Formats: sequence, structure tokens, C-alpha cells
Amino acid sequence: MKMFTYRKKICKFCENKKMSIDYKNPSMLRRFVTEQGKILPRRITGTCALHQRTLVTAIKRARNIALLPYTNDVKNA
Amino acid sequence: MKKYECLYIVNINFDSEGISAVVARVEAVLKNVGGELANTQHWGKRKLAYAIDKERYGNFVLMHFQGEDADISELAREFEIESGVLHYMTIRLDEFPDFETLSVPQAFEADRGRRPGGRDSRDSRDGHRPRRYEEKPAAPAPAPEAVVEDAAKVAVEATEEVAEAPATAEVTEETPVEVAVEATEEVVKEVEVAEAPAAPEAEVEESANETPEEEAEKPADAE
Repeated sequence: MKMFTYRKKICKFCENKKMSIDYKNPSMLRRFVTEQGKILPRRITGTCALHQRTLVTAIKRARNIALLPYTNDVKNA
Repeated sequence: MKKYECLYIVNINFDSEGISAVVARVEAVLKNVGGELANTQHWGKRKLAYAIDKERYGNFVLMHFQGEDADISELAREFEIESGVLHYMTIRLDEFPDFETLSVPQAFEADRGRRPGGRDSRDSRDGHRPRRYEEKPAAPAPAPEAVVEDAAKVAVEATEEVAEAPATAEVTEETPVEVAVEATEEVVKEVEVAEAPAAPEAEVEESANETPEEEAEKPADAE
């Protein structure tokens, strides 16, 4: 029942060269992280492999320096 | 001379005099070991993503400098000793960024936007199910007639091709349904479950959902 590759997504960083991946930019990095703070996989965000690797390093650095959380307590309704 | 970038957090409990003093001490150490300071940028008070030393806020200072490897450990030693510094991180760079265009990032709590895969309160089911369509925000209590209509629509369409089931799931605009290609019954069940959280329409739905279930069982039996 593999119905997961149905939508073509373009890597936002490949498309828009001006978006640079910087660990000091948490508002941009937040888009690639769940509400709980977990890193979103590539197949959800559509990022290409190269940029995903850079992105993950940036997210981990941001977490280290308390610009992004490691985890969020999400109270379920 | 290698290029480094160092971001460190100074305790906010020091008044502005104290912070400048801390920064001055750090820069003095750097100078002593022979590093060249290229840029300093104060970000000011920011909320930390997690508490460090029981502090929830910190003064961020960004520093760019050139130096050798030994300088880093000297600097780190200074940071450890210095009581005003809560946290620090040094990174090696290939190139310095353009110092004039460096902007201070937005405050942490200011950014609460939607996210592409975005489910806000249902993230515990983080099973990485890809979205087939954009999740529509929960409809604010549609009229009961609309719900009955939708359910009737589901009943009608459930008898048709299973491949069209996703369209009906979309119509009910509840929790995005993982399309099960096999049985229409499963789709109907999921629709039922999806409509359950909408409390106001609970009673209407229970009666409305029996019809699609009955009608769905007909083709199943016929098959």
C-alpha cells in the first residue's frame, strides 16, 4: 500500500538560492521541525538530500545554543 | 589564521555594566592569545529555548574572530571560568559573513506560524504520514444540515469506485484519512472516527452515519 510518493515537492533551498541555512535563524529552521521539536523527514518537507544534511546540522547547532528546543511539551487536547 | 564564529550567552542578572565587563574580559583573553577580533554583535535579551542554569533568558553575543586552534581552547577556558557566561558555542567558518547585513534573529516566542506538515495539537501521532492535501483548519461547527448532506454524499459515493474515496474524505474535512484501497467499510469507519471529535455534531452524526454504513455493506455483500 505504498501511496506515499504522490506529490512532487521541490527543495525550497534549491529553488530559492537566497535562502541560506544558518543555525542563527531559528524562525526559518522552525519550519522544518515539528511542534514537538523533532526534525521533519525529507519526504515531508521535500528538501533535497544535500540541503537536508546541512539543515540537520544547523538545527542541531541551534539546539545546542538554546535557539531551538530539543523537545517541547505538547499538551494533547 | 582560521576564521571562527562564537555565540555565547551572558547572564541577564548582570546589569548592563556587568555585561559589558564580561564582554570586555572575553575580548581581552582573545587578544592575549593573539586572536584578531573581526566583529561583535549584541543580540540583547532573548528567551532561551530551554533553561540553562535555571535561567530562562539570556543576553546573546555573537563574535567573529581569526585565530589558531589553541586560541579556541583558551577562549573556552575563559568561558568556563567566567561566571557571567551561561553557554557558548564556537564554530569554524570558511568565510566570514557580511557583517553589515547580519541581522538579529526574531525572538523565540514571536514565531508560531504554521508548518508545512503542520498539525498543531495532534503531533503525538507523529507517524510521519505525508499529507495528500493541505489539512484544512477544523471547520467551526457547520450547520447540522451540512453534516447530514456530507454523510449522505459519503453514502452515495461509497457505493462507487473505491478510488474516489479520498475525495469524500476531503469533503468531510476532518482528520486527514489514510486512504485504504481495500474496503469501503474501512473508509466509512474512518469517517466515523474522524467526525467523532466534532462534539456539537455528535448526535446528528450518529444517526447520519448509520445510513452510509448500511449502504456500504450492500455492495460488500453483493461482491
